[in-house]
Amino acid sequence: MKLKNIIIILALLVFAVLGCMLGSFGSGISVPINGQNVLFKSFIPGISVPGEIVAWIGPTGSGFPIYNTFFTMLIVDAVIIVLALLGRAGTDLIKNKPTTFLGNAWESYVNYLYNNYMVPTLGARAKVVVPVALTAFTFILVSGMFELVPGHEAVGVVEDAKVLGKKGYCYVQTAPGGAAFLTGVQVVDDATKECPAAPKAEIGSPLALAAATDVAAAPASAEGDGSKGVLVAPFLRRPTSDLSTTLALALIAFIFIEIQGFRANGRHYLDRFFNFKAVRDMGKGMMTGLVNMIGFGVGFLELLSEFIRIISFSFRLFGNMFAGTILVFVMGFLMPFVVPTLFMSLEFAVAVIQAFVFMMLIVVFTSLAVAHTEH
Amino acid sequence: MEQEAAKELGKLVGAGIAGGAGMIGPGIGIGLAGLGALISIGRNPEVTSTLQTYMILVIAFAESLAIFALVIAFLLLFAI
Repeated sequence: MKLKNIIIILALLVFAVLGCMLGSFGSGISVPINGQNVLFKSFIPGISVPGEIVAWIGPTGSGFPIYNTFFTMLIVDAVIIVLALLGRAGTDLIKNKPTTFLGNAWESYVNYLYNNYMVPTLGARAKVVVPVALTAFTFILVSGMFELVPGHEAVGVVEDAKVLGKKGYCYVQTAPGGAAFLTGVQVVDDATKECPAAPKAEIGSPLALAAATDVAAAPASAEGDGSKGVLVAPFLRRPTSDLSTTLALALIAFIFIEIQGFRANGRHYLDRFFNFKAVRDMGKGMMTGLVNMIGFGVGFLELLSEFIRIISFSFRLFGNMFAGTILVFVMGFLMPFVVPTLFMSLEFAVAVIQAFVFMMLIVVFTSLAVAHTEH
Repeated sequence: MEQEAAKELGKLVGAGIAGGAGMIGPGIGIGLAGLGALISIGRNPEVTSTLQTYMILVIAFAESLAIFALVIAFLLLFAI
């Protein structure tokens, strides 16, 4: 083994051990705020399955809510569109040759996926699947990478935990109107008087900081009212960790696959689900009749499995992303320094693999749908 | 208060069972996928790169079941 590799492995080991040690000994940092020492402990923030509302278009409460997953999706879209346009600008469309780095990168990216995974499965029909499959891949990949953006699931709007029906955390504010930091002390009920006496943030104040690994504080002095527990609705949250987004992706994939089936087989595409030919031939003897009856029943199972695909598509992606986010939270709670970084790199791998799986499933199911129906 | 305690207990026990028992099947599945791929590679080393792709695909399928169980455990612990 090369010396470089040994050094890298040793450094990783040292960091892992250091992270574990810091986790057990140093799960809190004492920070002086407004003349008193506030202990910030690591904690698991409020976990919400649907996206959180961060802003309203129109009046608050009755206007159009902007969810953080939607907001992040706009950013993801902007990133992809800008990169794609730059890639297009970097390609000589007449000679069909890339001229810049980005153009080259896009070409090799598309070519690799196209030649290695779409052509072997679909053959001549590989071209029709490229727009949907590659878009899904790119979107899931980029939104999965947003786990690595600093401030992801950490910076957001302060929310009253009681309104949400959850247990909130104490918080401190550096100055009136300034940023608020969540502390690690959970507000169990109104009688708890453990929150620090530092100035309090208003509910709904736009600048609030909380994080998976940091932000948690127990007070040095135990005065001040701990009546209001708050949670943070983060500005950035991966769109794929919201079931709505993955369901939308699954529906797009489903409709696309069905359309391809109809385009390839015409109305005979329905024959595999409603096998009336089998019913017609049922009278041809005992054994044939039995087999055809089973064949007719299998058609309905196929139809059902076609719709179950939507659920498995959406829940697989949602489950992976959501569980990944919580995994980083929990690891940050158990071992707050260094170690969550390793799990974030794991999250990166998961994002790549899930994007790949989603793309492969679209390709494989399309190839099943366009396969010739017996008739 | 007792009801609260019972609810808390149910959550913890349920999350433990969901997380633990839910991993058994996917674990076996991932093992089988790896086994099949390794046997094939041993017999025919030229197909390694192709098989690796499909092995990862199959492992991701099996793993997603484990992820479902994990999500249920997390939901029981934190969200409900």
